[in-house]
Amino acid sequence: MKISKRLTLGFGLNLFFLVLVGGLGLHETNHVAAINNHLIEVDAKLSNDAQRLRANINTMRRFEKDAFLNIGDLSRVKDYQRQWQEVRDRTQQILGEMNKLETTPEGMGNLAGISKSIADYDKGFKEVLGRIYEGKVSSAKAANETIGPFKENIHGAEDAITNSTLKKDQTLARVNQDVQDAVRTVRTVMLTSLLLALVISGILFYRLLHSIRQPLEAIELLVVDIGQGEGDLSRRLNYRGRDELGAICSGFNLFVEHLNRIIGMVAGVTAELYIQADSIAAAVSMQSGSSAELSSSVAEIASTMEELSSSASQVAQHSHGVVARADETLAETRVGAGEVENLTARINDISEDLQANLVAIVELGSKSKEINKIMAIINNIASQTKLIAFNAALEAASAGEAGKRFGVVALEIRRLADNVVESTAEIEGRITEILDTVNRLVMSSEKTTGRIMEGQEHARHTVHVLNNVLEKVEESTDAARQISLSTQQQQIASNQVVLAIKDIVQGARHSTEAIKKMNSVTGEVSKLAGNLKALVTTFKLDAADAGSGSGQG
Amino acid sequence: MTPPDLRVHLLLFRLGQARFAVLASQIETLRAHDASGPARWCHALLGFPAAPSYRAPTEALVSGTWIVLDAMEELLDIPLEAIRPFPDLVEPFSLRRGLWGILPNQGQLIFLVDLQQMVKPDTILQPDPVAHSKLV
Repeated sequence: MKISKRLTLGFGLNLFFLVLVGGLGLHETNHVAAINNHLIEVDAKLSNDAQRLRANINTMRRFEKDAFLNIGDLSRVKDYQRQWQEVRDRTQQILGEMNKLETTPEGMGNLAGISKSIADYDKGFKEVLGRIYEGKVSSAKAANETIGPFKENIHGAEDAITNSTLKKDQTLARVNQDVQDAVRTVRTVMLTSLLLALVISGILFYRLLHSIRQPLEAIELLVVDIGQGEGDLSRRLNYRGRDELGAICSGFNLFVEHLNRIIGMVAGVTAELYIQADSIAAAVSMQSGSSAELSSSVAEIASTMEELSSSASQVAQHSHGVVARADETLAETRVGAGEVENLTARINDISEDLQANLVAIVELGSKSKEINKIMAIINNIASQTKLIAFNAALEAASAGEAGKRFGVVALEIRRLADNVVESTAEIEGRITEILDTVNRLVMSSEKTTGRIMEGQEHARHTVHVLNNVLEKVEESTDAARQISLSTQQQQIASNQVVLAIKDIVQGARHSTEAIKKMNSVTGEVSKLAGNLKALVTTFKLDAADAGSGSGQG
Repeated sequence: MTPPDLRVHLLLFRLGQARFAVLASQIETLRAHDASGPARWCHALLGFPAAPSYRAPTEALVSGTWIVLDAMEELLDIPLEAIRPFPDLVEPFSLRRGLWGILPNQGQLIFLVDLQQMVKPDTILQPDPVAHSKLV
């Protein structure tokens, strides 16, 4: 049987005994509790009620005596009657409760007798009180004598109550004895059951422990022997049980077989490792020399890259200066383009003014021609005047002495006409000069206009050229900026390359040192492989596994 | 010697480069030249070989005939004795042309013409078409 089943069986038996003992104890405890409960709920309460009933009867009798002693004061008699009646009501209530609890015929008969005696006493007391109120009884003595026959009954009731109380005490004592007996029985049964369960559990535990400990000790011996002894992996566990220990032993034997095979393989691999470690040591030694050469080459590259980075820095600074010059050139070119545009605007203004002047000059020529026409008219008038003056002079001459004065006037008129003609001729000459000047001005203005138009054309061409120059300068500025940016990036990249190469140099040094360390470590590994080979040979292996391991080695 | 009060009025005019004068008493009136009018050209009356250039042609009415003169300059009141006759050699010829005397004036010679004689019917000539065309 498996260990788990055995453990389950033992635990189940223990649990059974515990449930048995607990059930017996519970049954007996319930029995005792029922007895005790009846004792407390019925008998003790009846005994208590009987005592309360006797106390109430005594109180009623005290109020009766007080009423009779104060018979001269009817109001006090009434007061005592009221208090007596209250006690009487409580007495009746107690009798009702006792009737409900009482179950024995004897007790029930006894209670009926007590009720009847109290009712007779009630009847007698009320009858005496009626006589007192009627005045038929006026002294305490007479009242005691009158109620005497009824008081015999109440004495009988008091005796019955006393007897009932004594009986209830006897019942209580008997029941208490029964409870003590039941408790003793329960204790005996439970102790017996517990002892029996302990004995059975001990037997089962011993059997279970013995069945587990024996194979465990065998396993321990073998494992310690393999671990601390000579490492004989050819030994096996012989326990063939069907329980978990049997499975553990089978698994352990299988594990030892695998370990046997693995150590055989490890022995082969160790021999191979020993050979390869020597080869690695030789290769590492060669690599150490190459690494030193590599470190030297990388150091030279680092130096060259530092020079290259320095050159890149200078190029970046120069390109920055080129960008600044290009910006200045761009700004000045913009200013020049603006000035040329202003100049073009001024030339346009001058051209417009010149056109206006030309129009005015042409108009002046036209006006001069009109003046010429007017002067021709004036000249004609002067000629006519002169002719008239000549006619007048002729007439004056023909008149002789009489026309002499008239002749003088005619002469003056003729001279005036001559002056007018001379003046008009002079004016015509001046006007002709003006017209000539106007014509020259017009021609000059036309030439000037042509030159101004040429100047405008040149200015437009200049603006166009300047705009092209501006675009080219902007492109040059952008290109210079791009060059500056590229050179800055190149500088940064060169710095990064220098840093990277420094890291590589550092890495090469570390690599050289690591290879040196690896060289020594490889020697150590070779030495350790030899040690491992020696260690593996300490294991005693099966013949087949030993053959395969040595074959690989 | 001519008495001091014997004086004549002469109307001076030009014809080409020459200066001429006519007695004011021969001229009835003067007017502006009308190209469309029936006037006689003075140079034609004087027998100029070619028409001179007229600067200010003016018509003078002489014995009912309008004669085109040029550049009337002055009306002179001169003593008759200032007028000199032509030399004998040329006088017959000049008289046929209507020229009857010479007046020296300011270093120049002024030829005196008799327009009335020149416009007599037997001496009337047609207007010179060449000179007329130059006036237009």
